[in-house]
Amino acid sequence: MSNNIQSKLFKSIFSTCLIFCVALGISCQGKALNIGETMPDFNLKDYDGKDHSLSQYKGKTVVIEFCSQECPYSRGVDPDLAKLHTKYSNKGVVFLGIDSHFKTQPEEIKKYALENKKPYPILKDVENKYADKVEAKVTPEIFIIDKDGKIAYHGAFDDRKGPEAQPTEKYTENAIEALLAGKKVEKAETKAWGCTIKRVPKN
Amino acid sequence: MIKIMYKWYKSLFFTIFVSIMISSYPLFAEEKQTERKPVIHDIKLNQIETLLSEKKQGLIIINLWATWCPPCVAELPHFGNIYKQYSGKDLHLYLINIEGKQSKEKVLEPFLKKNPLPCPVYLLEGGNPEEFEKVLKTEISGALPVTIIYSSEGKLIKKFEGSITETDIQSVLRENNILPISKNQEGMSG
Repeated sequence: MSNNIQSKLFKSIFSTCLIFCVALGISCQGKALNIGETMPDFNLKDYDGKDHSLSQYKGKTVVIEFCSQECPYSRGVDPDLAKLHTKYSNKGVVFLGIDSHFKTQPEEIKKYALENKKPYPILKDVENKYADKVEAKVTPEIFIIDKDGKIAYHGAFDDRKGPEAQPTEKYTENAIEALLAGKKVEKAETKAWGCTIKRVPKN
Repeated sequence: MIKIMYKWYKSLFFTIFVSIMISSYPLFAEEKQTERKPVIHDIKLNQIETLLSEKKQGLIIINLWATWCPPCVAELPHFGNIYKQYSGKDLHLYLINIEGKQSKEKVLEPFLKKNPLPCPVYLLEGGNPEEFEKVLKTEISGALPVTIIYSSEGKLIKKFEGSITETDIQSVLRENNILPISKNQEGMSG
């Protein structure tokens, strides 16, 4: 009998400690998002003023590119992202660009997008608030969100080291293929070389 | 008559133009040959690891850059100036380009011919940002440029993500008692 009470007591102490440690772990980890976590929702306007939210695309695979037309590396990746759009947009994959550069205005984005025939919407992240929320740091930086709204891939577009260089590993395309096949993304996290996302200066 | 004259003039002009072009060609060619070939050393991640672990005098500055990165290109002359101002014993400067081996002849060499530097440039073989973090002993977001300053024992002193000025570098060097060559001599004589 007393043994039973003791084990119960231990169990409750153990579980309290566990909860405490987990909570501490989460709070210490800060904002950085992990693979498998839910991607925070957004409400952003594209360069035509049309509203987009992540939740509206629930049930679809969403490829988000933090991009900047000011960044040669980002410009270099854009045509290849457009090719992926051609290949996968009719298979239930949504492509979105997000421009968080604090100086770039929607009209400039529109001009760039039309001149370069961007087939996907580019959203304006005013005052880089969403980039802050998801801790996006460079352009180009890719997030791929699965059908359940969870982050399935985060990192470089591919492993190229210059805007026009040939990649040897196509991280984004491989991740899309895996998700469409219902498989786990093998390389779910990489790091991208690129330009810093120019944020509103803090005082 | 005028028409014939005009034709004659035209052909004369053309002949002169062509002959000038032909005669001046060797000049251009010679000039190209005497142009100094930029100094590019290949460097691997394990070599960076070694240079950060070898004991030496002075500070180590590592700058990661790419020709496609405008702020990187803008700050290269600052590093060139710093390199000229300090003794090689006090300052070990590694300007490491991350564009990979295939860019050497097509991209990096022509770039350095156009934008000559007084110091050597290092070209990284392989190396994605995540592989870099362990070697550089600090988190690398992948955003360029990034400049990291280490002590003589390879201990991280300061990391600059984004653009850097000559004054930024000079002040870190001064804080670590490293002075420019001329000032150093003045100090000694005075």
